Amino acid sequence: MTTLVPNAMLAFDGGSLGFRNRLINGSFLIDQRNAGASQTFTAGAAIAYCVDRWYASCTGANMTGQRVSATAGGYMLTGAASNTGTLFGQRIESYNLADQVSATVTAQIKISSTSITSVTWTAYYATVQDTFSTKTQIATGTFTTNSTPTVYTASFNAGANAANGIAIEYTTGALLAGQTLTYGAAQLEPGTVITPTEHRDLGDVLRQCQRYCNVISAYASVANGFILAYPVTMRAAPTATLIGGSLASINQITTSTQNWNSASTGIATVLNVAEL
Amino acid sequence: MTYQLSSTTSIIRTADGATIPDDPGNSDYQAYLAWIAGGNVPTPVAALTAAQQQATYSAAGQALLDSTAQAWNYNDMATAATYLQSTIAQFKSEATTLCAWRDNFWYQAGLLEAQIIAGTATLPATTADFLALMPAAPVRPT
Repeated sequence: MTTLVPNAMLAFDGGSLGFRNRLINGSFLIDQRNAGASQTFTAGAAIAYCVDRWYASCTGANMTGQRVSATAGGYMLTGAASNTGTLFGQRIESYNLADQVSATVTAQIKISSTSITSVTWTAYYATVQDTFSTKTQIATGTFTTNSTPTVYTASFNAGANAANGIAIEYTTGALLAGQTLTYGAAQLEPGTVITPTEHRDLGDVLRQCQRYCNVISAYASVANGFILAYPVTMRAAPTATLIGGSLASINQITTSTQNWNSASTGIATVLNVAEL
Repeated sequence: MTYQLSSTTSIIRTADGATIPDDPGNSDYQAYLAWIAGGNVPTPVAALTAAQQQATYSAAGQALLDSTAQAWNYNDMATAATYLQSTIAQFKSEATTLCAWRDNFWYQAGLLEAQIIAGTATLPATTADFLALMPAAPVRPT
C-alpha cells in the first residue's frame, strides 16, 4: 500500500524529506562518459555503464542509448531489428542502504515507450558486500506501460542482506528497429510513502557520481612523471582508461591518486571507473 | 575478454588498454580474477621499446654509480664529485677515483649508443647485459 504525500505537506515539512533518494543521478543528468552522445550496447555482452551510475545490456541485437536532454535528463534506449530484450539498472553501494535492512523501500521511475507495454522490475542484493557478480533476487513485479510518460512505483522489503548493496533493474522484451524506451525520474526511498522525485543540486550529484566515475585531464610533457588527485576519494582504486592524448603508463592507482608517466607533450585525459 | 600483465601489479585489459589496479574492491579486477579462475592465462608483460630500454639502462647505470658512491659513504655520485678539491687526501682520492669511473662509464655508454645507431652493435637484451659492457666499479682507495 502506497500513499502520495500531499504537496502542501511537503511544503510544510520539506526539510525532513531531503536526501531521501538512495539512487544516484536519478534524473540521468550527469553523463560523464558520453556527454550526451549516443552509446551502443553490444548484444549478449556484460552490462555497460552509460549515464553515471546506470548501466544497460541487451540480447539478440545491439541497441543504443542516449541521454534525452542535458537540462531535463531522462535516458532513451533505441532498439534494432532482431533485438530480443533490454535491461537497465543501478547498483546501490552497501553503505547507502545499511540502514534499510529488513525495511520497506519504495522505488519509482517514469517510463514511456513507443512499443514496450510491459516492464519487469527486479530487486537483488549482492551475495558479497558490493560484489554483484553473484546476486540474489529480493522481489520482482511488472509495470504495464504505454507511450505516455508515467511514474510507476513498487514497494518491497529490502531484506536481511540489504547492507550488502541492492541492484534495481528494469527489463523488457524486444525493442525493435525504430522503437524507443525512455526512463526518467528514478528514485528509491525508505518507507512506503511515494514522494515527488528529489531535486538535487547538479554539482552535488556530480560529486556523488565521481565516487564511482570521474574524468581527469592534465598537461603532460615528454618523459615526465607526476601524480594526479581525483575530484573525490573513489569507492575503490579505479580502472583507468586513457581517452585522450598520450601516456606511457598509469601506475600506483589508489582511491585518491594515480601516477602518470607521459609519453609526449600535450593534454592527456583519463577516465577512472570504480563502479560496482 | 583478454588481459596482459604489466611491469607493476596492475593488469592491462587488452580490449581498451585500461589499467586495472589489484584492488579487491575493483569490479574489473574481480572480473579478471574470475577469468583467471576459469583457467585463462594473461599475456606476459609487454616488451619495452628500444627507447624505453635505453631509458631503463641509463637509469640502471646512474643507480649503480650512486649506490657505489653510497657504499663509500657519500650521499650519491654527485655529492662525491664535490670532494675533488677536498683538502682531505682520502676524500680527494676517492672522489677522483669515482669521477674517473663515472666519466669512463658514460663515455663507453655513449660509444655503445653511437655503435647501435650506426648498426655496428645491438642493444643489450637486459640491464645486466648492458652493465656488463660498462667499466666495472673501481676498488676504493686505501
